[in-house]
Amino acid sequence: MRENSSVRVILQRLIRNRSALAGCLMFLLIVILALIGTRFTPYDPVQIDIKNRLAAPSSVYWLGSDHFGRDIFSRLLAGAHLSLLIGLVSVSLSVTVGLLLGLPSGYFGGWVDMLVMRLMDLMLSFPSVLLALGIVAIAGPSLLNVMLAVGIASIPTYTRLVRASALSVNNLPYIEVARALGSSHLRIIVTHIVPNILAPLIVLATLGTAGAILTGAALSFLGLGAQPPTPEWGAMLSEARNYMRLGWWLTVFPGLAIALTVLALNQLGDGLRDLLDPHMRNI
Amino acid sequence: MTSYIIKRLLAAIPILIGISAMVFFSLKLVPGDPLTAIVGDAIISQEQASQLREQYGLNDPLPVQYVRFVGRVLQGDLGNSLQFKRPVTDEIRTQLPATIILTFASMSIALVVGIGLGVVAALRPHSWLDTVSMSVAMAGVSFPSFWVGLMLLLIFSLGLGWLPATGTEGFERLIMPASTLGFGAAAIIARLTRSSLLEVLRQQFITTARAKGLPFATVVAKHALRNAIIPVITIVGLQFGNLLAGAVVIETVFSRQGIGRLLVTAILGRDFPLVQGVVLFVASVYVIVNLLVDISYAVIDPRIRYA
Repeated sequence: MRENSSVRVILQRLIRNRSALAGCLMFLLIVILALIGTRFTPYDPVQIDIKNRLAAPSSVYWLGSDHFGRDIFSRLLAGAHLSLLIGLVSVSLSVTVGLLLGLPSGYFGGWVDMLVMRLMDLMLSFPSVLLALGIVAIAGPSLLNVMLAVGIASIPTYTRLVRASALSVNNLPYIEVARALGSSHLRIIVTHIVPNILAPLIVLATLGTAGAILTGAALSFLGLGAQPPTPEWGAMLSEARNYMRLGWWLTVFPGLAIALTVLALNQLGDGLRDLLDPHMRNI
Repeated sequence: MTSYIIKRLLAAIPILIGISAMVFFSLKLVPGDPLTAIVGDAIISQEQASQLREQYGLNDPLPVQYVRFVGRVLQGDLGNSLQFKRPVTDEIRTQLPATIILTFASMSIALVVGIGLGVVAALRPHSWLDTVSMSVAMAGVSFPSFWVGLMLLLIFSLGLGWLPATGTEGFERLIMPASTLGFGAAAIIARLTRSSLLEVLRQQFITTARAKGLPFATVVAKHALRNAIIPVITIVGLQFGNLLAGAVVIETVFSRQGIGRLLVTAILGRDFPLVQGVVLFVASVYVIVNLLVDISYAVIDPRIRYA
């Protein structure tokens, strides 16, 4: 009952925060487009049609066609799920590993904490994009490897947040009571600590998904992720780069698609942070 | 102060050792024969292969190979590039100046624009100026840098013909890459400056300064901004690393020379010694820049060095 009312309060506040609401709605729309996109494209997104190459935006090709005559709108729709998948898979990986490392680190402290934190310090001594590039260099260019690389590169951020959050609740009276009542470590972590660190984790994961989509698109743009003819947005921009003199629409729309998706997630993440972190609310 | 600097210098040593170990052992994760990482796809006989294995010490235990690797790195030997058939250090030395120029130009733009936007937004919170400044900042963190670069190329180079599209030499070839790279960092600096300055402006010493009758501009410049800038300096260190890494994309967009483009060429060409060398070099620079930032942080804020 109490959980329902707190969820309702958060939803009410979210509705009142106009930019967060706009981000939330825009992201929902992109998710819907990604879900139905592959089935309802006006044209086959990979079918080459040389006769209609580089057609400007019109009623036939809403966003124009590319250098192989492929409909850009269809390709954007078909590629939406790939961009979201990069964000989702990589953030799921970082959150899972972040929880698995950060929770014992913050809860038990001692040598576990020391070991985990030194490893994270080491990973943080590489700029995340460089770390992701290094991982792709070892694993080889592919979309799956990009997802893994972006996910692995973000693990330290999540581990540190989870550890800090676990540390901050670890000595609160209700945890002491749970310990005194004989609850097992696992039970205390799962039922008492995890629910208390969810709020900052949700905010970071939302903003992190935006960052992961950007990094994933950048790696595909460099030719290290999705390979042609896959209609991934970053890869589309990479292909379009060589033909941008011949049509502005080749580069404008795929970039706009990435920008709007990331913008929506950032707006939503910022809004959630304002809602869930009272300190930030009035800033 | 000296003891603080020595402490920070000593703390950087294990990190640098860790980086070298991570870079060295990660190369051992490359699937296939470790010799491939040295000779690439060149076809060699069994005899040559065993000779090379002996020559490069690949038959030795990994810790021994690592110690030898560190010894070579300390002497400035990062191996030879498979693609360019030259020492990796020579390649880095050739490409480095262009990246340094790009990084510093981008950071200068990021600082001026970022602090400017942040101050404007903080002085008029919730006004249209704040909305515009923070919208620009939001665009900076949301728009992919490679797309912003392509749009600048489309407008100022292909459309208006004001600036050259590609190349490295000359100031006019620096404007678009530096602006593109600086835009993202400016956004982060603007957001942090705004929140930090808003926080400081609420403090009692600001009220006191204003109650004494000091002009508002003096209060902001001499009292508020000086304190608000401290967290910004920390982020500048991190942003330097991000700019170095961001150069990978921007140098490719604008076909500029530089370490970033060198790294992409190395990855695409499976030139592992070059990848290893560039990653090791950039990560070490990142650690050293952050060390310098930490020290400057202590110079500005005495509470840090006495903590």
